[in-house]
Amino acid sequence: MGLTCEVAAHAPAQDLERALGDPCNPRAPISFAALMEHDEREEPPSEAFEALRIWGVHARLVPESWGGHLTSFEELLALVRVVSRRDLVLTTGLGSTMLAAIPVWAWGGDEQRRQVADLLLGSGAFGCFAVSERDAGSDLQATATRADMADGGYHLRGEKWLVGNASRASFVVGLARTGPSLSLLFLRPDRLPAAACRRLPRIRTLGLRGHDMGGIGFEDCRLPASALLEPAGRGMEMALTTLQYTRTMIGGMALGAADTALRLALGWGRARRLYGEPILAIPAVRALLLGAFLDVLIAECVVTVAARALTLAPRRMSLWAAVTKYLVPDLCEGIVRDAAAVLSARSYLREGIAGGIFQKIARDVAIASIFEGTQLVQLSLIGSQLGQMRRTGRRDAEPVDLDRLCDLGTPAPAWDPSITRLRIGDPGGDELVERWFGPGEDRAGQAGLGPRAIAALRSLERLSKSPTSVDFSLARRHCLVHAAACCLQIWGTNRGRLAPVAADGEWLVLCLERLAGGSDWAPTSADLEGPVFDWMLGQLERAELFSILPFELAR
Amino acid sequence: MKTLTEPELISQLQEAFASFLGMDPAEVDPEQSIDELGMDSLTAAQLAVEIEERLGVSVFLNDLTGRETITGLAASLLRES
Repeated sequence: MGLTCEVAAHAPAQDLERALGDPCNPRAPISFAALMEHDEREEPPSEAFEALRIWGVHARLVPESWGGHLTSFEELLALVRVVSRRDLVLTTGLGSTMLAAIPVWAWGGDEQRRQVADLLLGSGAFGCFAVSERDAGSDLQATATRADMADGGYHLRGEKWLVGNASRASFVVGLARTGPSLSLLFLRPDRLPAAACRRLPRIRTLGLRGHDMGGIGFEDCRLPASALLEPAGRGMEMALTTLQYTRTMIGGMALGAADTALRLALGWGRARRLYGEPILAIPAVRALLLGAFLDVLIAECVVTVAARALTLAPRRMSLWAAVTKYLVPDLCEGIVRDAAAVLSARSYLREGIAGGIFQKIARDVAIASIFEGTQLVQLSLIGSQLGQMRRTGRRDAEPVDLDRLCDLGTPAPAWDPSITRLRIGDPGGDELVERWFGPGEDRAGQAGLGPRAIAALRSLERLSKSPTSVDFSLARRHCLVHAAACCLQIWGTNRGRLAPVAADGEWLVLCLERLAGGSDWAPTSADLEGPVFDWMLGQLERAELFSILPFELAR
Repeated sequence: MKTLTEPELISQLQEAFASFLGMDPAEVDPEQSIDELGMDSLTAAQLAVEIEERLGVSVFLNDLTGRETITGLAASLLRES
């Protein structure tokens, strides 16, 4: 059966979507109306978390070997999009939990794994990844919290600040200095004296007002030797490897928020009449909406490749997770801004369309480019790795099979935590960019691309090769070229099975032109734009996720 | 760690550094401070992991920054093992 019917990795997300109902309906298990009330009161959406627990979302964070249903990150990504299109507060709470759980699955002891499995599968507990500090942030080497060996265990002291789920977490994985190096330690706040593990006051934020953002202070906090995640002294490397999984999922969070923003704006564009006709007839409005849709498709290709690569090409992920974390939030925040321009004054109201949820989405999505490493941090990670690849030309002896990586008809394999290696640099190449932009045969011609696509490809190629003295600019250009390669490869590998409108590839040409044109992009002719605009409108009317693939939404 | 003599360990470290720096192992001066070899901290941290995987000796990022030389690093690794 072809892709036009279903993608196996989307099946659980389709089921969750149906269970959660149409969020525009105030009686749905998770409704925008109820979420708005929680946001107004700056409190967590408890019933929504409970609805997710009942469906079994927490089990999706536990590997099958520990009794859960965490299989591939492709499958998890689809779930993240479904939840995030309703509320980023939910996926931020779950994402912080995932951050704390990943290192336990990968490097923890069996007793720690059993505890985390029991907590997640039983009560749907929260976890906290306690890494950042007031004076450390992205500079992990500046970590001041110490875990000194004493009495056959560790004495933990210091303060973690600006960490998710700080006051409600049932388990914490924290980064602390053990000797000259850093280590990760597992602890259970409920099993420690209150003074040893003190929850700090909640931190107030612009968006995510129902999220539990805070800090934890440790004072004379005694932990057994078994609290340390082995090997000792590799805490920074474990933290940076863990972030590759969650940074990829943040792409799904941003895409979920962007979907709702575009859905509201497109619906408004169709319904709102000015100057005697729907505002969709105004060229500037059409251009904003079409551009936003193209950005959804670009972001979807990038994040889908990254999620699959977490188990199909893990070595590349030190580079590709940073590219995804830089690019996808950037695109999605742009989508929300464009949607706001179409919604005009309605975007500013805390009432009206969908209960006034848009302004909440706009506040909430702003976190995507900040948490788990800001845009500058990602560009720095990318720049460092590009520099190393350029200097050494060091190649991975096992090149990535791009058709297997991008074949959406074959689900990505499940994650095996026991073989998770510490990989924070030296990615071994970027075959996607090399295949579409490297020297060699005429790939664009072989793939049957038309003159407009080839012209866009050439502009991107020039962009990636034009000299610059600024490392970050080079890193940003690599992101654009990588994104173009993801679109090309997803289309190239799957076009035999995509729905005709996706297989025809008008969207691909426009996405390449948009990536090449940057902020100056504007639609130039109706021959390509018309079918893509109608495709977007059809997805709204049929209640499907904005996507290259059909994904039915709850009605 | 496999039983390596100091010159053997130095030459293995030179090889590991060279592969991350894009140099010939013979060009990596074991008497030069690691800072001067020119490696950013992300790459250095990955190199430390790789040295452990290849040679079975625990080397950390802080061992690969500062004024330490490859010769000095080899000596302290042999002392610790």
